[in-house]
Amino acid sequence: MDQKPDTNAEKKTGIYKDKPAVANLGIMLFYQALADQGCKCVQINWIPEYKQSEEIGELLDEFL
Amino acid sequence: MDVKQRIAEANQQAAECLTENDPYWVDIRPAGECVEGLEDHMILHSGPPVNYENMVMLHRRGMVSAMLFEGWAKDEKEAVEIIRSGEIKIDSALNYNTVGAGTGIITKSVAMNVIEDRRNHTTAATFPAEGPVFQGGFCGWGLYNEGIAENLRYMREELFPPMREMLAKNGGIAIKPILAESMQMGDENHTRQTAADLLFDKQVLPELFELDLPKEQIMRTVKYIVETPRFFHCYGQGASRAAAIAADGMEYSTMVTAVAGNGVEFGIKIASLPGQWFTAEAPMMKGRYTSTKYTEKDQLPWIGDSCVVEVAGMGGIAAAASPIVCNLRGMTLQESIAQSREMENICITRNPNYVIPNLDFDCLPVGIDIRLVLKTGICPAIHGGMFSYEGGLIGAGMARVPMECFQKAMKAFAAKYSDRK
Repeated sequence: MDQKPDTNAEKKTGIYKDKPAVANLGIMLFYQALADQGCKCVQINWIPEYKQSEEIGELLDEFL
Repeated sequence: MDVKQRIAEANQQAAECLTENDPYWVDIRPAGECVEGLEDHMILHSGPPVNYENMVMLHRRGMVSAMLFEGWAKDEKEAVEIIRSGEIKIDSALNYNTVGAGTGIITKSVAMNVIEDRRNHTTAATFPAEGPVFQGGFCGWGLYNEGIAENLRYMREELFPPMREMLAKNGGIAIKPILAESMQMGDENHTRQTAADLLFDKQVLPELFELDLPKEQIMRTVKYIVETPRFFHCYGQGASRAAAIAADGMEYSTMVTAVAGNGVEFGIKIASLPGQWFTAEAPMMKGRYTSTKYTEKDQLPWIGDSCVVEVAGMGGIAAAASPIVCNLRGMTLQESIAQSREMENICITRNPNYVIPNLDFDCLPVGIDIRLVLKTGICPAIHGGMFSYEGGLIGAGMARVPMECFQKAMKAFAAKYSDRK
């Protein structure tokens, strides 16, 4: 299928002006999908803070 | 010194038992002579303690097989009657200085490799590889027939004497250098021992050929060694167990010293509470089956003690060392590295002996701390073999130790050490 010409190209500004550069936090799948499309990206291994139960949280406060 | 300082100090010492260990393979002896506390009419099994009525079929069959192998019963019916009468003492192998790979059935007459840790002054006994001859399966896989029993006797009477003579002559084979080098050659030393096997062969075979024994006898033993897949696995387990035992009983330590399943429950032990198990439902494994005919429905929940190598910082902890093993589950090199990096968050220290090229020559983490597991929510990754409900190995893969085990362990630790009672 023929792609339509981007008639708004000259109006792009800011982050839309250049190719994106992405720092992906967490889920590797997003990083991989971007990398596969030739996008400039880095992976940052990060997971949200884990919440234990109140009882275990108190024990960790005491022992860790 | 406050309790947190005591824990930090104890964990450092406990972790040193794992990193400073000096294991040697020194002998092969009947279990009754090298498993401390193993009595006559006693059967050990893998995983946390479980009674006969609650065992999965593989363990039940193992119990019966052991009765027949030892001559304690004339047939299956009598064996079950005697077991149910309570005459046989049944216990977890990890409550002793041994390790029960697979079903882990151990009785007094079974020949065991003896591993002596010359730094920690401990010994551990491990079940030897059952050889390349496929008599319809292996004892460790939860199978049994007269051929399997005969093979165990054949190993004991025919294959092992040259090995014993070699060990008596050379004073023992050092295990740690083989583990360390193989970790740089693609092994994580749980699911894969390809490099370790070759390094072991390189050292052992010339010494066997130098023995003053008939060539045929030596060649039988040599073939047993070189034709058995993953021959070195039991030595890695023995070395790990001997190191973990040294940490058992260390007051204030929150380091994990045992990780194992019995097909029903999965359990851990920690250094400061050596007599206690902390259990949860046994996890299923994700991985690859040996045949497309198998699915998760065929897979028995985790059974076996071989995660003793994870306790010592190998296997799932060492994923970065073996992207080949991780790729069996479809993982990339980067994901294998990420798995070991993730394990760094829950380990006490690093093992300077295991320097890994894929980690840009960082050392592998070692010494799982229950507090760090609870704080981060990261459960230890464990590699292993999948067993079917009927017995037999049907694949290999990975699971995570259930969080519930760590929660229970932390509560028990607090019951012993908390000042806030």
